[in-house]
Amino acid sequence: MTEVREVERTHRWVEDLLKERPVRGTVVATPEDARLWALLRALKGAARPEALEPDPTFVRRLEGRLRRRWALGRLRRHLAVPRPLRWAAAGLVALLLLTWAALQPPAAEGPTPFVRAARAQGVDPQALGRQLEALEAVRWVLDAALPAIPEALPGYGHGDAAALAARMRAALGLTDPEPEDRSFGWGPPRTRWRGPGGTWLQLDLDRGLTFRYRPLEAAPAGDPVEAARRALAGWWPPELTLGTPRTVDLPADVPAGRGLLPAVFLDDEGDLSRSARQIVRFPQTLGGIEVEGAGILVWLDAERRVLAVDGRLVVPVRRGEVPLLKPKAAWDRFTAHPGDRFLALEGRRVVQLGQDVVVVAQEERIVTGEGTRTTRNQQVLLAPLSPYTPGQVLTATGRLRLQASLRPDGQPRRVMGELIPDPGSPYLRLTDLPPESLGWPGMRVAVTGTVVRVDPLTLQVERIARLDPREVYTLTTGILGEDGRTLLGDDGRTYRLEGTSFPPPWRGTHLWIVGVVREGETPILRPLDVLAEEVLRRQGAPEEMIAVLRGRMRRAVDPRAPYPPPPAIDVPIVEGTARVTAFELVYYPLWTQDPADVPAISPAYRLRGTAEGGTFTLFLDAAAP
Amino acid sequence: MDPNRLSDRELVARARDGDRDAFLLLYRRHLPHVYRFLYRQVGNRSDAEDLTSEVFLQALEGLDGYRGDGSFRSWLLGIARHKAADFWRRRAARPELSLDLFPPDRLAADPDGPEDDPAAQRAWLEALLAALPERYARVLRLRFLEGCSIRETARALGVSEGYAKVLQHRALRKAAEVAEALPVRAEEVCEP
Repeated sequence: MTEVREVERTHRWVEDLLKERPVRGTVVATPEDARLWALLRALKGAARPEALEPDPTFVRRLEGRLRRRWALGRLRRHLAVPRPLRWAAAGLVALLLLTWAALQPPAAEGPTPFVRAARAQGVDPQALGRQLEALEAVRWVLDAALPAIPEALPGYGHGDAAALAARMRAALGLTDPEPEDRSFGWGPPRTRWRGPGGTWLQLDLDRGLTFRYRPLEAAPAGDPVEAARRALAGWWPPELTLGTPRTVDLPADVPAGRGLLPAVFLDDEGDLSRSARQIVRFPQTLGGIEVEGAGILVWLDAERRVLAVDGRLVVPVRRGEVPLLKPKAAWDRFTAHPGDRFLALEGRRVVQLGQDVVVVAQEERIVTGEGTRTTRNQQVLLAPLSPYTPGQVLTATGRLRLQASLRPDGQPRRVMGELIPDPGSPYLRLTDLPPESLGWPGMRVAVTGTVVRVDPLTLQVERIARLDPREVYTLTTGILGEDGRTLLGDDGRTYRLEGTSFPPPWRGTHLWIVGVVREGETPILRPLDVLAEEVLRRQGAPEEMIAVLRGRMRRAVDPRAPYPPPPAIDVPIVEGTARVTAFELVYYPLWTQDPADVPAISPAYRLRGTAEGGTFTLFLDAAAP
Repeated sequence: MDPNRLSDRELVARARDGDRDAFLLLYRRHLPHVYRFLYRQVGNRSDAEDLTSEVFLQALEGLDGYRGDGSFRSWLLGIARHKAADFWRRRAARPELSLDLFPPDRLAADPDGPEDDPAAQRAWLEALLAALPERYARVLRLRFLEGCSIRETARALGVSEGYAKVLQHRALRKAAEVAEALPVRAEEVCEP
C-alpha cells in the first residue's frame, strides 16, 4: 500500500476511534495493522480515562437483563429434566408458530408464482358465457358470479420516506445516526438511528422505513386495541392508513423454544418472546387493501402494558392510472419502451460478498385488483470486515457471471459482472469488462485489476482471459438420465452433468439446460439455468408461464433474440361438460426498469374446474374489446 | 451481615444456592473492570457494552463452571478474553490469520494489573510521548490529549491538513515501535 493510502486509512482509524464509532469499518490484516490499532486504543484509553467508565444507563440496563435472565435460568433448570415437559414446551412453540400464522393477512386464493389473483363480485355469468360460446361441443356450467373488471388500475411507486422518518425521529427522540449501512451491495443506502431502551429506526431511502419503539413505561389499559392505539398516538403519520387491527393471544411460557421462534418474535434481548402476551397487528393499507409486508405490531404484556411497537412502513406515491390492455396491445406498449424491459415474474437473488458475507435478497412484484405493490425483503446474515483496500491490485480466478440489459437495438445498456471464485480467490464484482468478455458467461476466467471498492469487493478490470478454450456457453436440451447426472441430448450425444445432481422427479424428463459445455470425449455440461417443463406442468404451472421461461432460456444464450412472447391467453381443448369450480381475475404485468413508468397490464379470467378426462385451467382475455 | 462485606467466593456460593442478589452484587463489583478491559480491546463504547453484556450473561449461565481455582475476577476476565478474541475473529476478514494479530494484544492492559490505574496510564502515555521526536509528540498530543480535529491540528502546527495527516500517520507508526520498548506492557501480565 502506498503511504498516501496508509495515511488516509490511519486518519480514518483515528477518527473512528475518537468519535466512538464501532469497529466494523476497521480492517486489521497484518501484524503492523494490529500493532497500530492496539496503540491507538491504548493512546485513547490513556488520554481519555473517562471513556473507560461504563455508562450508568448501560449498567442499569444490563442489570435488568441479568435479573430477567436469572429468573429464566431457574425456570429452564426446572424444565430441563423431565422429557414430557420438553415435549410440552415444544407444543407451546408450535402453538406460537400457529398463532403467528393466524396473525398474517389471509392470502388470496389461487396465486401462481407470478400473479396474485384478486377476487371480486358482481359480474353476470353471461359475460363469460359470451366468450365461451365460441367453444363448440362444450356445455359450460357456472355456479357463481364472475369477478368485475375495472377500467384501469391505480399505479403506485415508493415515495420518499425521509420526511416521515424525520417526524418519527423527533417523536421518538432519536438523534444520533449511525453511518450508512452499505452492506447491501447495490441496494439503496440505509441509515439507522438508535435511542434508549432498544428503540431504533432505520430509513431505507427509497423503500420505506422500519422501526422499533419501546415505551416500557406505558400505563396499562383495559382493551388491547385501545392500549395499542394509545401507544401509536402522537407519532403515527396521519397520511398513512391502517387497516382493522387483529389481536392474537400468545402462550404464557415458551422458554425452551426461543431458538425455534420466527425472528419477529425476538428483539435484541429476546425479551418480547417471554413477556408479551398479546400482539395487536395493524396492517398498512392502500385503497382498502393491505400492503404486503407493511404494518405495525404492538406488543402487550399480561396487564396490557405496551412493551414495544415495531413495524415497517412504506410511503406509496400515486403514479397515475395503469390501463388494462388486451394482450397484444400490452405487448406492443411493452416492446416499444425505450429503456430496459423485463418480464418480472419473480426475482430472487443470493449474493455472496467476500468470503463469509451472504446477503439474501428477495424481491417480488405483485399486482392485485386495486393497485401495484412492490416489496423487498433483505437480510444480512453475517458481515465481517474486508482484508482488501482500494487501490490494491488483485488477480483472481473463477467463473464469470454476467447480467446484461439491452437497449431496443440490442446493444448492451448496462452490464454487471461477478466472479464466482475458485478456492483461494475472493468473490468480486467486476467493472469495465471488455466487450469480448460479454460472450463468456459461466466460463472460467482469470481476472486482474484494481480494487475500487471493498464492500462489496469490486474490481476495475484491466485484464481478463479465459482459462479453458474448450468451454462453450450454450443451450442444451435432452432427457435426464435416471442417475440424475447424465443428459441424453437431443443432438444424440451423452453429457455428463457437473456440479449438480438432479432430484428424482426430474429424472427421465425432458430438460432445457443453459450452461457451459466443456468439449471432450464425454462432453461435460455445467448447468447454470434449467427448465423442466414436464415437472412444472405436473405442479400446475400454466402454459404461458412455461412459454415465458422458455423464452428466457433462449435469450440467455442469444441476448439479441426477441423477448419472450407475451402471455398467451388461449383456451385449451375441453370436451363434454365442463364445470367451472373456481374463477379469478388475474393480471399479467409487463414491467420496465423505470419505476416511474407505468407498466402495461393485461387482465384475464383464470378458470379452473373439472371436465371429462380430468381437471383443467384455462385463461380468457378479460380486457374490454 | 452486610453482603457488601462478603468475599467473592462467599457470594458465588450464595448465588449458586439461588441468591440472585448475590450474583448482582458480584456484577456490580466487577463490571467496571470487565468493561474497561473490553473497552481497551475494541476501542469504542458500543462494542464494549455488547461484549460486557455477553460476558455477564455467560457468567450467569455458567456459574456452576467456576471452580474457584483463581479469583472470580480472573474467571470473568477469562470469559472476556474469549469474547474479545471471538469478536476479532468474527471481524477478521481472513480466517487463516493468526489471532495473535488481534487483541488480546501487547498493549492491552489487564484490569488486574497496574494499568487499570488512570495515573499509571497517563504516565505511560507521557513516557511514550517523551520518547518521540518533538513534532510527532506534538501531533499526538493535539489529537489525543487536547481533542483537536485534524484541521485544528494542522493550524496549530502551521502545516496543511494533508501534511498534518501524514505527520499523524508517521507519529503513530513511530509510537508503535517505541511502545514495544516501553516497560510494563500487557504481555507481562495478560495471557494471550
